[in-house]
Amino acid sequence: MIGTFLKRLFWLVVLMLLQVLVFNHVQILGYATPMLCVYLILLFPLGTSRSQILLWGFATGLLQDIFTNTPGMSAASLTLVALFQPDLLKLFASKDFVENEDAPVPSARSMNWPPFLRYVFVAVLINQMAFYLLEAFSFFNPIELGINVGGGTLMSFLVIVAMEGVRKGYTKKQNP
Amino acid sequence: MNNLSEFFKKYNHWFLFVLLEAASIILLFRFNNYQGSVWFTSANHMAAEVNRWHHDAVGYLNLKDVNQRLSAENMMLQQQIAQLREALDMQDDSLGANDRVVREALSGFTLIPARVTSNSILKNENYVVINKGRADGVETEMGVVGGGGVVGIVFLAGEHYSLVLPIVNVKSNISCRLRGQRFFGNLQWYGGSTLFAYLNDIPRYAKIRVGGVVETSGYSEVFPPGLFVGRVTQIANAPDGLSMQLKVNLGTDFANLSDVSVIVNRNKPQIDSLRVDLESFETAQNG
Repeated sequence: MIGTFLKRLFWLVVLMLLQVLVFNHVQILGYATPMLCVYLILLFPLGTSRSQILLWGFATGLLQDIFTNTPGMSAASLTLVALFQPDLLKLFASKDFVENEDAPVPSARSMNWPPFLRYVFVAVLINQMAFYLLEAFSFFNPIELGINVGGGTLMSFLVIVAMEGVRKGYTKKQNP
Repeated sequence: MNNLSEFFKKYNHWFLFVLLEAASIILLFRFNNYQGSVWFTSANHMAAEVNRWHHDAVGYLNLKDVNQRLSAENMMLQQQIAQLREALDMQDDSLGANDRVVREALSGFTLIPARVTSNSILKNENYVVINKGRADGVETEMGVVGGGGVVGIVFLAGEHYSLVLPIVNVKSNISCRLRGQRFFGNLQWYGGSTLFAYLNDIPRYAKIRVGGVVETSGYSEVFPPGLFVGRVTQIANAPDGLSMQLKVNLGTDFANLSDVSVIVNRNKPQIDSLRVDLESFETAQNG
């Protein structure tokens, strides 16, 4: 229990550092900044208490907000993703994965790539839509809003998939 | 109770979700200028809208009171209009040129202003009722003048009302003269139009012209001398052939009579007592 908690904390620190030091400076024409923090929320296995996921989502978002000076935006959008995370997992994962009593951590290895990609993509989309809607706070400029959401979703998706690839290779090496 | 606690246990993550989102939104509005201002303005807009609804509803419920107040005010204003209209009418009456002449002629006399409460012009024996009586100092055989000139003589004086015998009564007989000449006669009315009366007993040798002024002679104690009565419009022979009969256009419009003045005659008691003395003297002589 403590082990998983510390592991998550470690992941949180790593993701936050990456986000703050690297990915916040990545942008294409002012759009499409990747946001990784949603990755942490996606790694909760089925059967985890929903309240726990929500609290993690909120805390992660708040931490990111503190670093990017956008109080409330990431916290709200990540809490939203945390609310839907178990349902998304049930929706996209295979029957075997859902009924597995070991409740494995969601990953490309445990879920296979296609369901995992769909799972990540929808979660990232929800996160980005919530974030940019809160940022714009109006439908005054829907085209710019669409570009923001689309670019952000695409970049975040790509980065998360790349990280998942790295993680998969790492776990493969560790547990042959 | 059990069900309730189970319900809370089962859906507690929803409550937590709402709580966390609320916290996020509060942070959002509190620490972001843009979102804060949007929230502030739209919240203000909403509050204003709700206030407007409330105000409209209260205004609708208060319409009854407002209506009553308006009715009362309306009534008050209408009364005021009536009073002002009356005052204006009186003002118009008193501004006539004739009126000023009459006033000047009567400047040395005490006048009792009165209003006509009843009037008739269609009969041969017309009477005018005025709203002043003995309580106001009106006595019988006092002269009554109006804006246009002589009106008549008080015939009966009641406590608060008096009956006036106007020129346009066949019983009326007022001693008149022609202005600038000393010829005098009796002004009489024979019925018909109230615009004209006849001045009898003017000698045939008098030089009279149409348009000459007829005024009171002052030979009776009722009117002071020189009060305007009317103008000569027609000169004719009297039925007896010995004198002239002048048709006089009366200065007073009896069909439109409202404000008159009663001339107080201070000498009348003295003259009356002299008459009584004379009568007693004559009876003493005869007897």
